[in-house]
Amino acid sequence: MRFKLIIGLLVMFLSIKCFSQNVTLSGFINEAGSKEALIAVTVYSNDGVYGTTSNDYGFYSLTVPKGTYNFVYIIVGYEQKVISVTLDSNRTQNVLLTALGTQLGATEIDLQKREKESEKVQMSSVDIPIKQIKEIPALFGEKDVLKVIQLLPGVQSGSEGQSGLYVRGGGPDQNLIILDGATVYNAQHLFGFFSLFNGDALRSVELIKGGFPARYGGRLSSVIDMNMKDGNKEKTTGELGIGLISSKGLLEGPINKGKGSFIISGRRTYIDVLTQPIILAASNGNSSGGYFFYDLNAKANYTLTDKDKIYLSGYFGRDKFYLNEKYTFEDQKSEFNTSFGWGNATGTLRWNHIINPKLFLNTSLIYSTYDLGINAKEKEQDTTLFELRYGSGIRDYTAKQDFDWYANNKHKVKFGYAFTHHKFTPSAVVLKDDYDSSLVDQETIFNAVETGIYIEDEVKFTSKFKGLLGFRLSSFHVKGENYIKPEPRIALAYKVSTNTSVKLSFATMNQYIHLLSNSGVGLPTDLWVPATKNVKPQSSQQIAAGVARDFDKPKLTLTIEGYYKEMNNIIAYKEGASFLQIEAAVDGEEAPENSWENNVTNGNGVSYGMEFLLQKKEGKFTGWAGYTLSWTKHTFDSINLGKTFYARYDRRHDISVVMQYQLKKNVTLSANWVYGTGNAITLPISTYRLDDHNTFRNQYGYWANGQEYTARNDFRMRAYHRADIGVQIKKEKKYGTRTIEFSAYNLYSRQNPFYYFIGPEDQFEPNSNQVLKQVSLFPFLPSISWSYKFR
Amino acid sequence: MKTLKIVLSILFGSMIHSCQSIVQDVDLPEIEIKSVVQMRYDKALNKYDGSITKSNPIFGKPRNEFEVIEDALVTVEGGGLIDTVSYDPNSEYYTGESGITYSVGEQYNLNVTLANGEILTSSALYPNAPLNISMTIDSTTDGFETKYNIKISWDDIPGIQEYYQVEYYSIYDFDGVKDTFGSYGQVEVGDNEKSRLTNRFETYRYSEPGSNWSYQTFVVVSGITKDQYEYSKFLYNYEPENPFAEPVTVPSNVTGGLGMFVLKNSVITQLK
Repeated sequence: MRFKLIIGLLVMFLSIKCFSQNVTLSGFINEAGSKEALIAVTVYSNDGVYGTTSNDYGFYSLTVPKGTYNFVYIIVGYEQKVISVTLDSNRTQNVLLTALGTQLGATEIDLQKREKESEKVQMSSVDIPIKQIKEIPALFGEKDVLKVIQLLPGVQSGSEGQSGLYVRGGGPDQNLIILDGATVYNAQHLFGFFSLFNGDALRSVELIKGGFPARYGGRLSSVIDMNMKDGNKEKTTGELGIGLISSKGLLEGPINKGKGSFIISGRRTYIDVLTQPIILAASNGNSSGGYFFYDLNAKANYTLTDKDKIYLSGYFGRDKFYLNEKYTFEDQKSEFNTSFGWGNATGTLRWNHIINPKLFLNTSLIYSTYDLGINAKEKEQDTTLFELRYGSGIRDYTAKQDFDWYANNKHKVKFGYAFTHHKFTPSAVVLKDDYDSSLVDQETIFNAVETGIYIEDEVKFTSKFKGLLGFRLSSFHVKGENYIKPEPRIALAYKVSTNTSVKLSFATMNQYIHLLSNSGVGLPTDLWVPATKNVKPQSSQQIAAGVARDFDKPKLTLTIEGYYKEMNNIIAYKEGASFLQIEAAVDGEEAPENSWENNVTNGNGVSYGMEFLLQKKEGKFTGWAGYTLSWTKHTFDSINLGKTFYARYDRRHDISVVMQYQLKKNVTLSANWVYGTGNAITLPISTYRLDDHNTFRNQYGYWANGQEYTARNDFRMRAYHRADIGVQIKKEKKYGTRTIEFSAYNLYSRQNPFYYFIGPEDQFEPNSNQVLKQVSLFPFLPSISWSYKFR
Repeated sequence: MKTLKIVLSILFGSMIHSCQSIVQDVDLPEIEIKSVVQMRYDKALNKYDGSITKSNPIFGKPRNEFEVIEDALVTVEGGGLIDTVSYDPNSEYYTGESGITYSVGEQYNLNVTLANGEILTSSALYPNAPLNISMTIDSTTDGFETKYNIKISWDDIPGIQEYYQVEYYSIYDFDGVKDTFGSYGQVEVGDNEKSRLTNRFETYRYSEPGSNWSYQTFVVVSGITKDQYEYSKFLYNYEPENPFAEPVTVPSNVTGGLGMFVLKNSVITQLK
């Protein structure tokens, strides 16, 4: 009740502020044709005194003194528009911007922001153009948003081919991956070789590595904020694509004569379909098995009134391995079926409401879930002899409201709150065994509530000096334990010349959930668990400073940033522990000896380094070159004898070069090259005898081989490098544009290490020397894909 | 067509060219062969028992056996006395009775001098023995097999952080053929308050009419050192073949090499 009163008073106050001598121009900015909302269009008066940008829904608001103005609406990739208006009262001005060129070679329009880097207060952030995501050559031709993000400075991949992200020394669990406001917990298919996001249904992708705005919280290291397209409001259209391992389709169109629109996009792999006949033939029809994954993105929106719009969007994706075997022995039929599946589902219902021309409200109800299931069943005749079901997962319900208040020309304020109920199920086991009549039915559940309330103000101190001042108060309640943490955020930018600014930021972040992982490769078996009384929340403080410069000729952007980040209470499995040993715990009771809480240890981390990024976003030749010099170290009391060690993903040098060149109107060439210092690993160096020291050695003697290792992560794998190339050829057809892409992954077939092991030099020689061996995954891999985009 | 075949062959050959290879372009760590001392004294048996071996480098010629050091001078010193533990070539263990009167809380020092002059040392405090041990036994018979559920309880000592180990083992004799089975030594940690600690285990005896079975079952409850507690816990969880487990530093309390020197204060009970 009190909360409603505060909100009511706040809204009243903000509304009263409108009745001044100033007037407000507001409205939505959309793309002419599809009517897709355009994000971050710059709107300014031609004298340059007043300006603003459109928000994530294309809404803008600009408050100026009464008078006559020429307002310029500008965004890269679109024709600039100038509108003359005489403002003597508040006015709504919706604007359509036409994409530059609709002919071949310009059909893929970026709907993303193109604000100059030197104009932005926000630092440590990169907008990834969807067009570039679709042009960069990829493994098996499967376009992948997260793998493109890996090509940016400050972001490292884990191992060969993996889509896990390690941002400024943080682990993959420290990335907040948001799709239309919903958290995606496991963004990986096929053990991380592909990510969930192929870009077809996406409108924007933004990566933030530091200087986090206060509206984001809950993770230490990065925010990857993705928004799905709204769908074409003018006509029904679509796209089909066929690749080596998957096919995909997209359909979009208007609802009720342009009052709304929808978009549906899907993808499925068909490795299982192709291999099924071989498996059946090899087993005389007795076995079937395979693997597949699929994704489905869907979104619909509808304009209720001039001030109200609703959006409903969702993602559903799943991976599944399965193996079914049948045997017949002396007329007894037996079956053994096993499957291993995991997947995410998200759903977001949003309501945009323009409270007044200066105040925009977005209310969201969000559902997100990730689950893993392992099933095994053995049957004889029709009797079940053995059945195992293992599951783990996390499920969230979130309600949140976000306000955009365009207070005046100097203050653009965002504030809001979020309330999330988490249900963690680190393990659920049902085991039926008819051999010994045993039944195990255990489920470990933790319920937790996470809240966040924030306010941030993008303030223009002077024409040269801007700031983004924010504060977030986050809280977490689990098993009677309450954590409340303040999170101050500050970002400052000072323009030292027309195209150059220096920037500084500081951010405190807290993370109340942990990912238990000891594989280091991001397996779906990794467990999401909450902070508890014994396992404290993670926190970080990051300071970053840098320079951003925009060059006019050629149009280049250069950013140089240095950062220093401290991470506290990060967790790791204790030495020798693994998820295989985790024992179920009961909510409300003391954790048993082998519960996850007793198998993890807290420590601290530090990461620091420099990042250089040179980008060319316009013209026939586009791309970027990035370089990162960084150090990441961890210290745990109970690991490595308490001595500080390099994190596995510590990478001294990381280089990426990404290039696209439009050779002809219909031909685009692309290439990229990456280099990274080898991962830091722990290597066994000798074996020795271990005695168990039991009392009766003579009667019950036992000794085993122990292994002596290097200090933790004291050995470096080979450096990683790889080049990929691709060519896209487009052709206008009767109903649309056909695109054929040829690409090659790992052009010079570099044998990059996936993992190391000790093995015989000659595996067929029993006394062969033991040597260090590596397994590499992907040599030179050519691929071809075909797609058709309907007009 | 021929050209296409050649191109496809090159592509295919390139794609499958060995995904496993020997790492040659990185420097391997320098490996030092270390001496490994495993030595135990148990007051209930008044006996030392241990081994001295050499570690094997992981690279190079594969070795299934560890080199046993037979000529080391092994002494244990404490309470003003020195024991010398000598090598038994039959068992390949250093073994022997102690002349020292071990006292709870006192420090005892192990000193190992190898023929090459290498010296390894360790020390440990003698632990308390478990107090007021009691047992309850439930049994169920299924055919020729009787299962025994045994619950062992003992007092923890208040104000002192104590560590315990519980072992059991059975020796059976079937028509003159003897063998042994038993538990891995489970370890427990005291709660620093006066309370009863408990441990359970299950064993069985087999008795088929017409056959001649006999059993001797022993339960050993020991006060142990913290080092041994950590070491035994490590062994209990040790899964060198588990690809998902992080590498583990094996606990060691031996200076100058590797290994573990443990002192146990055991109470041995034979079940009837």
